[in-house]
Amino acid sequence: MVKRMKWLAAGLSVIQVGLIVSACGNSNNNDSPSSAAASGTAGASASASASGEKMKLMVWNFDADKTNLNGYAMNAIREKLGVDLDFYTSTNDPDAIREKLLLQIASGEIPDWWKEVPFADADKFADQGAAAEIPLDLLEKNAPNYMKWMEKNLGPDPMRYVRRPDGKIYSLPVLWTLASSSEVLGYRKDWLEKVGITKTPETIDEMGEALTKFRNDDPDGNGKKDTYGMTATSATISAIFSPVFGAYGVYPGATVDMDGKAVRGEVEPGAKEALTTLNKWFKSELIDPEFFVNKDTNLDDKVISSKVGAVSRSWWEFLQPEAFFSGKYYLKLRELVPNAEWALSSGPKGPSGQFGITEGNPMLGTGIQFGIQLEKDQAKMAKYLQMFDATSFDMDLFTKIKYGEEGVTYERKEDGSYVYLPPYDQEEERTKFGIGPYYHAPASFNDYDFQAPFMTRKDLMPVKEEAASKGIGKYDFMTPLAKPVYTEFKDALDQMTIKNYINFITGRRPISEFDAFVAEWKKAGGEQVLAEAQAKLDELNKK
Amino acid sequence: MSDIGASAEYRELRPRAGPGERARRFVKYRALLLMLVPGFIFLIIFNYIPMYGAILAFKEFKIMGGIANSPWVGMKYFDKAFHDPHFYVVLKNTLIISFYKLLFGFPVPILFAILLNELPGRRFKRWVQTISYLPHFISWIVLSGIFITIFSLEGPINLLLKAMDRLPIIFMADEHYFRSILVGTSIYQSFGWGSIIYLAAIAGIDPQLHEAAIIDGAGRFKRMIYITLPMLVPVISIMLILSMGSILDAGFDQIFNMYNAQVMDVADIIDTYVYRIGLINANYSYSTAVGLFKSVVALILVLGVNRIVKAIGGNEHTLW
Amino acid sequence: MTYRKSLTEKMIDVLLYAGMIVLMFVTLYPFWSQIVLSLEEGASAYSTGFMLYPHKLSFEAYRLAFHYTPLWTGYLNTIVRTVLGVVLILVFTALTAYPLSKKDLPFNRAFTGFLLFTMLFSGGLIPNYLLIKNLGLLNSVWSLVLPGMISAFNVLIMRNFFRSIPESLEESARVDGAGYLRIFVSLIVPLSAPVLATVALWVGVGHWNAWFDSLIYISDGRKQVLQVVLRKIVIENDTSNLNAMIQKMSTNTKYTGRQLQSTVIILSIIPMLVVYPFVQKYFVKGVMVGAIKG
Repeated sequence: MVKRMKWLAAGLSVIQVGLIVSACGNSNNNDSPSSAAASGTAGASASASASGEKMKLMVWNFDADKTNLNGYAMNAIREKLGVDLDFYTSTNDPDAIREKLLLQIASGEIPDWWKEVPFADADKFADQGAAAEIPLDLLEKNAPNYMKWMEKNLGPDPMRYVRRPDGKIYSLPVLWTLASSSEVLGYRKDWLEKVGITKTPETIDEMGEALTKFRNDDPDGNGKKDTYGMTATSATISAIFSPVFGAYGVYPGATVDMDGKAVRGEVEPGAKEALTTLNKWFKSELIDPEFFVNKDTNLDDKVISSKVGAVSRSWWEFLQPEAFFSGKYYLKLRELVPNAEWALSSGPKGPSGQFGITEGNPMLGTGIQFGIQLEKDQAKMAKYLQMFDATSFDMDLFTKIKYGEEGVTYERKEDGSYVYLPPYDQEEERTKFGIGPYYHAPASFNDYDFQAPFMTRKDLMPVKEEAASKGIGKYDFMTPLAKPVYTEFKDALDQMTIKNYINFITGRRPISEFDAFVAEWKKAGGEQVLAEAQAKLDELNKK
Repeated sequence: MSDIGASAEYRELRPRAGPGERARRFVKYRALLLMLVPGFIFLIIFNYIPMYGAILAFKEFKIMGGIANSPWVGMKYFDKAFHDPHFYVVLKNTLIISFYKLLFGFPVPILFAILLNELPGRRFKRWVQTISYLPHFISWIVLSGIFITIFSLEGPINLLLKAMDRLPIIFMADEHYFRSILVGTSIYQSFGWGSIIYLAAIAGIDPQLHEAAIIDGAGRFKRMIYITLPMLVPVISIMLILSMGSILDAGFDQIFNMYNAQVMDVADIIDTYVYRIGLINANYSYSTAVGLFKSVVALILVLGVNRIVKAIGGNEHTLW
Repeated sequence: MTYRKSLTEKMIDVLLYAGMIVLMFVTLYPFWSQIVLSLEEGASAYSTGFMLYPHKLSFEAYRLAFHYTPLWTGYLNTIVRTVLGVVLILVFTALTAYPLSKKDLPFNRAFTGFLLFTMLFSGGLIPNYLLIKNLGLLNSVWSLVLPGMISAFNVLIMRNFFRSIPESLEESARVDGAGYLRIFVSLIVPLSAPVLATVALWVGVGHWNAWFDSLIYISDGRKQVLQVVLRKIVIENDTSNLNAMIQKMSTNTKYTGRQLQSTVIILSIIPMLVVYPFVQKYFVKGVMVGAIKG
């Protein structure tokens, strides 16, 4: 018995030791800069700055494997701003970033700042006192280039989109200027030529003709009737053949401003005409008969393995990577079909000459918010604003962060492009040196005009400009605005619309019932959604 | 010795109630009671302490107030769920899919384990077993891609239909087939892995039982029915009861990666619905309320099935 | 064994063999397709049909993966948490399950109910995070190991196995003067190899595949587990997520391609396959010990 007790006591003490070890392990961890900083509060940092030490700012690090806390880029920022820097470490998964941030705030470790949370979350943070107010004069004084960039894209008083009912600003909007002109319709140019069409289809009839030939004239020359004209997915409303709807002047999946009237394209009369056309095409087997089953990967597979001749995507996917970004449909397709080429279009023109594709709102993210503790530490907020402004719009600092030191890590070619010098052409070496695009300080304000020399090889500039000019259409003006009614009904309405659209296109539901669908849609909450949008639009247009 | 004899003896030793008797058992089992302590400390710290979070279902979560300082809203979020017509659709789908998965998926690993055990050749047996559980390690993102290919218009199943002069079917978008596909593919992914516990139990069967039966002239089939299967009954019944605990988890990863708008009415489950709602508007209170609802249903089912098992098989195979 | 098989039984054997071979091929396919994809060169990986063999063989993705240091740190961290998790869980689960296997243990029903309740009810993410934070476990491997230490499911499975061990064995040991602890260590545990192996496999694979807890509790990149590293690679290739896309564009990350994705999937599964035969051995061993003792 005594023996047994001893054994047990030993067992229990093992547990205790375990706990002690874990506690020690943790206190050791606290020495590691990131966790110490994460738990650092406003009070601590304020007192630090008061005692004459350097102010400590935090930089987000979503790629811990590709960054260096004390590397060249971080030192460049330190030097430029006279501050001390540390990392907030997270991951690259947006859902996880959001979850973790919510947990941190809920447990009282509010970070100094964060970026790009969903709108509803950002509103909540502002409403419930987790986010700090950003005074406009502080912003204008410390981030002038940012303000200039915003004004360039949004006109005077760019902050009107984020000003809350109390007249205060709680977030710095991020513009992704590409969004409003990204979607284009790509045709396989080599296929068009093969079937005897010399120009890119312009009208809806020409498009129908091209798709017919893609289906019937064996454009890939394999002797089998195994190609379709076009495919899509049904992941969102706007993913369903948006260019065809544009031909009839409607933009499903977005609340758009039609001469002062807030309109949802999916229930407009034009949508009925578009669905009629699509139904006709479906019956003649021009479009992928199982487009609605596609996930993104299936779509990629079908495009890259030459099963379809037309698809709607962001323009840069159709170009060579040197022109802008990693052109997937260009690169991978060409590996399989060396002479493959894309002809880009803004979508076919309809009977009354309308055309376009549902695009994205450039203000698709909430941008940057500051933790509430900075409301009382304006000096720090000002310093952050200076950092954001400098890392995004100061050419010298921007280059130092991304490319390092001229002559050591990179050189500028005669054509103006930046090239890494060996051994820094290897990412590992760049990580060691501490440069690259992974330093989020904040790396959110992307002025693509400013960044052009880094994105596009000079000789490809016209190609890029040409492609970018094709992205034309309308976008959802409601994206950045608070919209509780829409939030409530969105899922039900979206699912209903997608399902009915597929049924109309595939003929399971006769198109004559379109008006019945519109009535159902309005009854299921659509009416309220439109009313809410109209009220917001009136408010915006009044200003 | 034989197992049956042991349990008969055991039954005779069953205690009679009474304070003196209980005290005697306390003394007898004092060492065992102490053994329980570390495990229960873990349970209290890591399972019971956080449970206060469940009250969020009755509160409006305020991120700066924490759980304690968030205001009470009573049944608001339950009302919200129960007044949402779509909630009944997803609840029904969850129950149907889950029930089918249980009905068809539960016996498969048992059958597989028994048949595998019948195979002569230890090496071959090992290979089959190892390979059978491979799909368990492949995520649904990958598996769904494969199944979409198999059930597509160009896929092998439609080629077969074509060869039989039938019209092709878009299975993944057909409400008549989709649930069957869900159940079938879920069995495919998990039967090998699920059979591990039964194979372990079969391994625990005393070989003497089989030898004795052989001497009595029992064939393989008879031994399968009269020895192997009865010896598995305790494991089967406890696995069945415990599986009730997750009856409202119809398989988020699988369905999320396989469904599409066409089959929404039969495939949308509680978890996918809550996920989509949460994407638009993160709401801890609502998802906590739904989680609590699922727990209560699971509790009722576990207790219910436990009672049924008790009624059929007596105390031997129940949870307590 | 003196038992002889009849002709029909031999026929059944053949049928069983054939059935199992077919089953093997069917269940092997997804894994095989990932191997093929991981060895496929470039764009051939984008295909709408079946992947039975690589069209153009390429080891490029493996070469890349082997030079990717975070993958190996991830491996190490995952191995640490898995080994630690399996060992501790086995010890504490068995310790908890053995007393509960005595039906006449005082308050057994209450204890079991107390245990079962945790299987069905939980508090959600926020209180768990606060708990881990207040215990000072953030950023430590203990935050991944301790919370799941006692799972009702494992305890009940183990308890039931202990119950199936003939009572007479214990009784004779008790007659020999052994206490419960000694019986547990020297009799019950060796006899329970099959169930211990099963639970070890379950929790081992669970720990091996877990990522969410690590994502939430661990912020130091060097302490991240394998699955988080793998997810990162997969997300880098996800084109459907707009935010991820923009981020990728601002960091100018190129798609790493499907080959690398499949490669990391294969690399994460292989250790499980290597370990399995060793665990499997115990399924058989348990019987033999049982037979000798019996």
